[in-house]
Amino acid sequence: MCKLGPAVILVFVSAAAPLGCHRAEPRARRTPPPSATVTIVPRTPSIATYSCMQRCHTRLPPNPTQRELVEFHTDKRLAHGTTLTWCTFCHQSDNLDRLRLIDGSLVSFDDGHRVCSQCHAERYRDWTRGIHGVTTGSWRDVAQRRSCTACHNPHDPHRTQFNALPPPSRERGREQEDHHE
Amino acid sequence: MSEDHQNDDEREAVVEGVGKAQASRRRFLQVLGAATATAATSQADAAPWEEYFQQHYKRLTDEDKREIFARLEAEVQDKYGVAVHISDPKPIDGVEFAYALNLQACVGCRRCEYACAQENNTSRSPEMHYIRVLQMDKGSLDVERSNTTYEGAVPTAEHYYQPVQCHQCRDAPCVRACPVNATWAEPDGIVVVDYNWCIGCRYCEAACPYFARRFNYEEPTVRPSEINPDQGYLSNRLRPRGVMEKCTYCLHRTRKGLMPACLEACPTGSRKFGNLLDPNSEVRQVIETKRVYILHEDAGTNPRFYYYFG
Ligand code: SF4
Ligand code: SF4
Repeated sequence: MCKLGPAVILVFVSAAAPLGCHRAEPRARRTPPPSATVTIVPRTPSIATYSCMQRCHTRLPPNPTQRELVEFHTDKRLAHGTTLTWCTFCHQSDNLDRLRLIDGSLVSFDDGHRVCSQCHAERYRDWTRGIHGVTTGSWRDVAQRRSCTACHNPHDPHRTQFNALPPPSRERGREQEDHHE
Repeated sequence: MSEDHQNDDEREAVVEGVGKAQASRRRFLQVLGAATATAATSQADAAPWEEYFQQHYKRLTDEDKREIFARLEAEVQDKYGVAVHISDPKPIDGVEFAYALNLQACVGCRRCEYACAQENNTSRSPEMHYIRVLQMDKGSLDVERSNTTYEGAVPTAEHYYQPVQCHQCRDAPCVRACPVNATWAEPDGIVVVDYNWCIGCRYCEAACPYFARRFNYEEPTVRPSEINPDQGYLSNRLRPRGVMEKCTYCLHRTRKGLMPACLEACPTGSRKFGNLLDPNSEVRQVIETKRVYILHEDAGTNPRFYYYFG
């Protein structure tokens, strides 16, 4: 009897309501497919001046003295909190292709998020969970996640404005047309 | 029988009640019955003939679908000179789609709106966008006082931005409102429209508390060069005049594992999409660890779209 129950109901429903009822249909199996594999998009290919060592700094040893930059890197404005006042806080001065963590270990620009994580622990945790930051590609197969500096300028991380695309003409003429609001 | 399900007689009556709908196939059949059937045998009229006899999506066999898709593809080829491919990807077992949108990160740039229009072949003139971005006063949740016509530099210091699109509700008022069952929720939660079954009564549009449904008052136009040829039968295929449409979470993409076009276009990463049944998915992580806000929660729609802060 118990076994017959659902079958009888099914027959009844399909005869009476050939298009299915208004509610979502019953789900056959609820086991989710495996989650996406997340890959971090490497930063180095999009840094125009990389490799810093090969391009300049093997020949031109950096001057570690804190000063106003007038010759090189004049486009860089350092306005990141109150502690980051000089290049070598994050950049390793004798190997400028590497970033430096507080404990002295070196990481590639591709792992730049590890540098950020030292102060922004909560944001970093959200980023690892995919809650903060840009992840595109597939929700099921392989997803690509951008590292922090793909969006935030680490030297001057303040959010800048840019122009919105125009509202669609339907919205612009809303007062006149007023189809439904 | 469920209380919200009308029987066939009632449904027929409602259809007659909205008899002005330009696509009333019953009227057509009556007229056709009185007239001669030979018109249908000519090549030019073959398509409408088949179209008027076309069954509801749920009653179509695989064979029917093959014929219909081929016919639609040929129509687009004739009309626009564009080769499109119409597919019908099925809901995936163990998948229920949901969206989460970060209100703190969205800057209101409308990139999502335009990417959606491009992906979904929505009319360019008159211009139709599924997504509407509300410019909201900081400190207020009152969507009635929002502005949808803002222009220029964003974000401003006084505002935050709330994009709104179809919420794919679990208790969808639009689905209940439809007198002919032309719109329903699929097993993966996506609410779809059978564009060939829709009679254009607009009841669903009136029922939706999110103003997420869009009606083709005029013949939709898309430039041939801008037609997205990767088309889903229940999503972004080219629609005729007189039918309803709306966001389908890009089911022709998402059921193949891809992200929706609006998410791909968003420069701020405000948009999170995935499988609600997968505890590791980004949407589940959002719901489990963030403050989540449901728009018009009081409407009892139980949407699969969540706003969050963070
Ligand atoms: S593209 Fe992203 S940031 Fe821009 S309006 Fe849409 S959701 Fe907001
Ligand atoms: S948001 Fe509107 S159109 Fe989408 S399912 Fe809910 S009621 Fe229907």
